[in-house]
Amino acid sequence: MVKKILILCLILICLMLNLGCWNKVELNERAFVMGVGVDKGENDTVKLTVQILLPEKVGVPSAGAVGSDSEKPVWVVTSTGHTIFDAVRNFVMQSGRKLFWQYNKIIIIGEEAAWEGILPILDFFARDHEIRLDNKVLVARGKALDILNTDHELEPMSAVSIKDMVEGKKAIGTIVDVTLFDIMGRLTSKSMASIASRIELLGSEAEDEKKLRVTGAAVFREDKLAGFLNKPETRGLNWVLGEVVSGIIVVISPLNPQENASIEIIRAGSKVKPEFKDGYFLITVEVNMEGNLGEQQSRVNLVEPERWASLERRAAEVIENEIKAALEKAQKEYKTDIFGFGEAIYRKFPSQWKQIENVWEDLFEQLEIDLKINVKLRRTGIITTPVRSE
Amino acid sequence: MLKKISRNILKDLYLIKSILADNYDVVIREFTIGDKQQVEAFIVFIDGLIQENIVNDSILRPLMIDIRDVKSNDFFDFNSIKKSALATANVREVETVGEAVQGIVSGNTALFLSISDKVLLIDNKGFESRGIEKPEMETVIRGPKESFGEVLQVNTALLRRKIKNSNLKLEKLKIGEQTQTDICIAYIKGIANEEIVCEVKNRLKDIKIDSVLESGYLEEFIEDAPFSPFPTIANTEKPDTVAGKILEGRVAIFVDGTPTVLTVPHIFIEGLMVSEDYYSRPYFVSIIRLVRLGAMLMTMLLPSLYIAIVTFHPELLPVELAISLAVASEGVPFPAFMEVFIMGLLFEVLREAGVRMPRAVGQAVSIVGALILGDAAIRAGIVGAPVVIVTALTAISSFVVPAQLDVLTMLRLVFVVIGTVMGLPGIMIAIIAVVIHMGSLRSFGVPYMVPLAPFFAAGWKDFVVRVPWWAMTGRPHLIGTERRQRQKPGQRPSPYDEEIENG
Repeated sequence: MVKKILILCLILICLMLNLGCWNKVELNERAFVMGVGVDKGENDTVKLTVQILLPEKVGVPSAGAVGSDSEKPVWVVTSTGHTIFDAVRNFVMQSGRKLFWQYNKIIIIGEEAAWEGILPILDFFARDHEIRLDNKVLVARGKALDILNTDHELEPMSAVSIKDMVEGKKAIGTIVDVTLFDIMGRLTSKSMASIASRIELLGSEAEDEKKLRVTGAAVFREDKLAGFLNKPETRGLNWVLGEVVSGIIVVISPLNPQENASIEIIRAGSKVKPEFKDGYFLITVEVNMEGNLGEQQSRVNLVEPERWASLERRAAEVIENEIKAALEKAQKEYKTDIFGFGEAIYRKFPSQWKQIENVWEDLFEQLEIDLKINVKLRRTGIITTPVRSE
Repeated sequence: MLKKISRNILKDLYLIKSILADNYDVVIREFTIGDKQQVEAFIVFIDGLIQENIVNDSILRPLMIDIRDVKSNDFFDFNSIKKSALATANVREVETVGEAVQGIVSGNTALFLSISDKVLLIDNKGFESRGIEKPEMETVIRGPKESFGEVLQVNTALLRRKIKNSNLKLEKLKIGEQTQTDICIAYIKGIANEEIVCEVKNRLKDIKIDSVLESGYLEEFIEDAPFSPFPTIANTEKPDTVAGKILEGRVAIFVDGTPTVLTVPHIFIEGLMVSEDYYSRPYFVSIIRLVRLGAMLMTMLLPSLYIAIVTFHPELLPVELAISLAVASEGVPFPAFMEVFIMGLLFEVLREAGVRMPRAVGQAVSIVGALILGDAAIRAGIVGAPVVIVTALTAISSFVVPAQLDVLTMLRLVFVVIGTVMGLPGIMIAIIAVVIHMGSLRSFGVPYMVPLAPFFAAGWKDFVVRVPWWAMTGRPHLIGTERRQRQKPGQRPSPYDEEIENG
């Protein structure tokens, strides 16, 4: 009995010592990637840029040293390879530590690479177990390398600030918030086209004057970049997708055309209803919005019922125009179904969908879309009428 | 030793002297009783174990002086001396020399008479002992602040003062070939399970041991799972705790010479309970019990979880925390396991030093410990700050559940090794193994994890939460005789009762 227990212990110890620990990596042996950018390199290669965290410079008090303000806590490194994974491994030649991707926040794709297709780029990121599906996917105007090289004042790591900017969609509605999960889902669909956040550099020519800005959206056909949407068009897209959470609608004040009023979006939702009539498909988009009067520049008492109703009409008009602009861009210019109308038809009329599946792209261009905008304004804020109303 | 005592007083005196030879503290006083009828006699006692004024005033004075004044009856014998001359309460007769000597060394005074072949053992024990002091281990804010002492009689009296009931049985036996230590089994007849009482007695009777200096000697002989790290016998130094446990149907084992009293059966959840839980209002008590449970898990698992997460699964951490940890471990020469191990070892050293050191140097130890462990080690870059935090949290949590301190410390070490080698899956496997082991334990026939497994819904009234006293109507399952009502149900205080009664 005792002998058996001893042998068991011996086996256990051998098993643990021989099999355990082999993949253990101490924290200070890892290189944390905060953001990655993909650009097209020379001679059919890919050029990968990563922001690697430099822990000593973050400003957390460590053994004696405190991070100095002048130095960036990130190290931007570039590596090239024939494939993404190849380029990723090539980083080891420069960093010495294996890259750790769990904390990666953003994947920025350079414009040039995006024109050629994002599927070969995103395959690695979707496949590798270390990369989370909540990574934001952005398309850069210009090179991703330049974006990652630009500092941000609020966050020491600009990758984190870019993630925050993308998440700012909740407050503004004129940008899109697209994660790796979303984009892989859209790439799977036959009819629905992909979208991605769009990031650009603003400001003067001088290097350190440049500022980052996330605005509008990038639109794909299949997996290739088709073009960009501007701010109103992007919100038009978000209205249809039901993705508007909050934001400001600026309307011309009733009775006072040179003054404006701001309406804060409190709640918004949308319904996409496909109909099949006389062999044609018709899509009805119903957008319901609730808002508050957030600001008025005129001195008119807007709370009076007919003026209030006029305000609601004007807000509805703005929404309608935004959606129309987005539809125009998608249907006529980019010819790509970013709204998911095809999916909606497929869900409601699966048998008819099979017949039109192959001609959907042409059909989409001619698709008739009926808009129904319902706006309800709720409150006026703390003061009802302007303090000096006429 | 089984030799009978003879009527020949000189022979007895010689015998006693030879048995108790080479003992400076043995006092033998020879004297003569009576005037006309002279009876030779001598008393033997051990200096320091008896109250000398009783010997003087209640034994020697009546026999040597007062008896001469009794004119009416000039004749006296053994019985009349025992019945009418000795003015002491506790007197018994023995017939063999062995018994007499045993009585003497236990603190009795032996009276040998030439007119009898019996010896009178007069119990006038009296020796210096510590008074009743505050408990050192189990401190409370609310509730009795007395603790057991070293004297068995005082300890059982403390218990009897709590339970004034003739059903409280205090059975005595002696264990220890050399020490002849008095052991007392306490239980309440009708509440305690007779089978468990019997089992306790049988296990105690089977012990053949040289000495019993502390109750721990017995604990190791009668426990159910001697190879388990988990104790299956509880101990306490508080009379109210013992009283509470006895009233739930448990059996207590008192050992003369130690303030630590054993109680059986012991179930797991008792380790998270303190007597104060039953004195304070139940709501906060329930929260505190949950805190204790959390502290228990923390002190057992925290170091291993830290190692496992930092070396195998850093993705589990929020990014800011991961950065802080990475910053802290930058420049630390050792792997996380070594850091945790070194700090854990240093803490155990400090703890042991804190317990053992003389009071006067206490300050030095705490200053040196705090400085070296807290600050200098980090500044010198030997360990990272997170490891110090982990060690400190582990240490503080371990003091929340002092009853489980030893088992938790041992398991912590096992978990640390497994966490280092196999990461979180290893820790999970180890937890499962520990839970299975705990589920298999029994203490005097009672499953260790009751009322969790086997499940008793009513038992949860006094488990991780405690319900108010008026709702705890029953005694714990499986411990006492049967499920007996502890108090009448429906005693919840309510302002409307009277109004309804009055119509």
